[in-house]
Amino acid sequence: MLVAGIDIGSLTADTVILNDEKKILAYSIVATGANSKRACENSFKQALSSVKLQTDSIAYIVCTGYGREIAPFANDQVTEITCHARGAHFIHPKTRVVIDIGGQDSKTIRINEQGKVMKFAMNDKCAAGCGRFLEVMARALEIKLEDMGKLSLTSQQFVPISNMCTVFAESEVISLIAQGYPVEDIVNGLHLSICDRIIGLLDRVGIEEDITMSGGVAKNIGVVKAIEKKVGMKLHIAEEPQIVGALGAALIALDRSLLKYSEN
Amino acid sequence: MLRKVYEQITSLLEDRVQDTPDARYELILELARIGLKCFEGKEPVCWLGVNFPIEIPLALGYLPFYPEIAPAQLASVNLSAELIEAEERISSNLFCCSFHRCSHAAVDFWPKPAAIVGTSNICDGQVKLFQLLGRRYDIKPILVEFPIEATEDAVDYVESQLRQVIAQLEDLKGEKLDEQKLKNVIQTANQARQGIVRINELRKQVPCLLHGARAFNAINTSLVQIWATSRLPQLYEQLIKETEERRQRGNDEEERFRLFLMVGYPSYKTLFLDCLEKELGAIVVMDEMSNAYWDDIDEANPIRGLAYKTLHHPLCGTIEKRAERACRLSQDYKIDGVIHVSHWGCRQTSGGVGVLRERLAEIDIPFLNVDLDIVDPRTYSPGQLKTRLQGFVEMLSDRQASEIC
Repeated sequence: MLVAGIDIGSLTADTVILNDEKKILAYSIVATGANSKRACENSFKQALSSVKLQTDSIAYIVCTGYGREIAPFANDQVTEITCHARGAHFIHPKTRVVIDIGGQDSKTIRINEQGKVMKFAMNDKCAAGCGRFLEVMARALEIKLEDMGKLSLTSQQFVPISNMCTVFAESEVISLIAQGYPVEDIVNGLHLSICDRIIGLLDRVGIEEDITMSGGVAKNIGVVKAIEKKVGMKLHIAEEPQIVGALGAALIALDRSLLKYSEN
Repeated sequence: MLRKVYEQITSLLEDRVQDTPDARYELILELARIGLKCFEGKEPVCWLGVNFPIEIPLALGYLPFYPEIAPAQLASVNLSAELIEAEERISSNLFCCSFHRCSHAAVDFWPKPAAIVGTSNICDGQVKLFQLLGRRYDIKPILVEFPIEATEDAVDYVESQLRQVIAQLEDLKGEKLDEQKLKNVIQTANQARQGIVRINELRKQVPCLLHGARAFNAINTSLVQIWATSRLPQLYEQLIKETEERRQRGNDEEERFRLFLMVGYPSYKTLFLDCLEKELGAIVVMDEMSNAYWDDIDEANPIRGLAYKTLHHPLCGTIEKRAERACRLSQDYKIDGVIHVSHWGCRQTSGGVGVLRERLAEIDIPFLNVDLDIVDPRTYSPGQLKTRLQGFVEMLSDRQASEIC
């Protein structure tokens, strides 16, 4: 039996195809762009074609992410809160807290030993400090998004940057460039501002041993190091942190398909 | 603008309740009728803060009007955003309460006041708002100060201030308070209170017989503007009868989870209640304000009783008191989860969220705080709201599944 989980986020649409032994057969990550429905379909098709499968070979599909309701072929919709919890617990079963920084929101999730959500906290009012925030800043600094992490590790001085508003932070960055601050220090300042917001969210669910970080921003070593330094422990990061939500959705799809199968 | 809203509500609901009697609509209709009377200019209008005892101006022959509640009425017909925008162009900033920003912008649409009476608690922003609004009509607001703790000394202090307010309102009207009229108003208020107690017994039942918008509109809304008015006990009786009839017809709504709502939910159209109740089966059984939190008022000593009542308002006093009350009600109403709506700019409610979360965790009740503006629809993001509500209900489902296992 094969199942799929699709995470339709604001920046990417990610698909994971899983077999009944919980083995990941394929995954895909495609840019969401302006049309999230199309991105969802493309992501699903891409994952299927990479292992030469057809749509009808998938027994159950769970969609998650902010676009979870747009996929007409989904059997169920589950929030990214539950899916990231499930995915992170599957990858690192000792996980008790999940940090997920996605494109437009960030969240911290406290989970129990079964990977069930005990409580969660999400960013409020503004998406500053999320993936989109870093995209905007990379553009303002004229550097590549994927270079930000390593660059920030070479920083020599602390440059404080506001974490309350993406637009104001962008203005600050432009002003700092004009004042001649090195790019690596500015990038480091941005990462620290993201880190401060995450620490606030972590405090709301309680900091525990074994924290897993998921979402695209987990690929940014600068942000990861900044959080690790603040919490005083190493974070678990999946090999591909961007598919943790889709993986969680696929695991839920497997549970539900087995339940459906046993009921029938 | 507001007058027109009341006229439209009246014309719409009069036909509706004639065809099909419905206490919820009758209550809204009553509110609109009293609102319309305020614009007729026949009786003096007294603007009130939400925690000032309405029984006093009613007994003195004033019509009550709530400049802080009216913005919610405008929001319900999609008129608040443009007023708040207009206000932002002139003066106040985003961090002020949108109820107050809207009220300040709409001051010319409110009925002309003969008196303005505010209180320092539950909202200190109200004191400033009433001063601002009073300038428009050259009226100095009468302000009552409420101590934090409801001690006997505090009751003495508030009672003496209420007596001073009565004297000032008597002077303004040129008429002394008729003790018998006050007694009648108190009798009506006590009857209405008994009605609430009986209604809330129906809400305690599993499955809940009166919940969501129907319960919120019927009880929460009637605690101001139409509280202690003559038709209220009869309308509550009708509500009880209709609810009992609904029980006999059978309750076809799914009740997977029972929720306790703190503060309220947006007055403009959102997915808040539909998502919770219709999609997720999470029923809003009780809310923070709809409980009869005071005792019947002693008809022989009404002013002291009113002082006592105002000091026991759910949002008056310490955070610990509020938290204890939330815990007690959650247990009484067999609540599975608590949702607190932190209205933007409202310090007196959102300031206590951490304590509420901690205290409810001690009795193992999950808590969700949602940041939402109750009257400004410009801040509303359906997707963000839905994720939080759905995520919370998924969490409740997992807890329930674990308990079953």
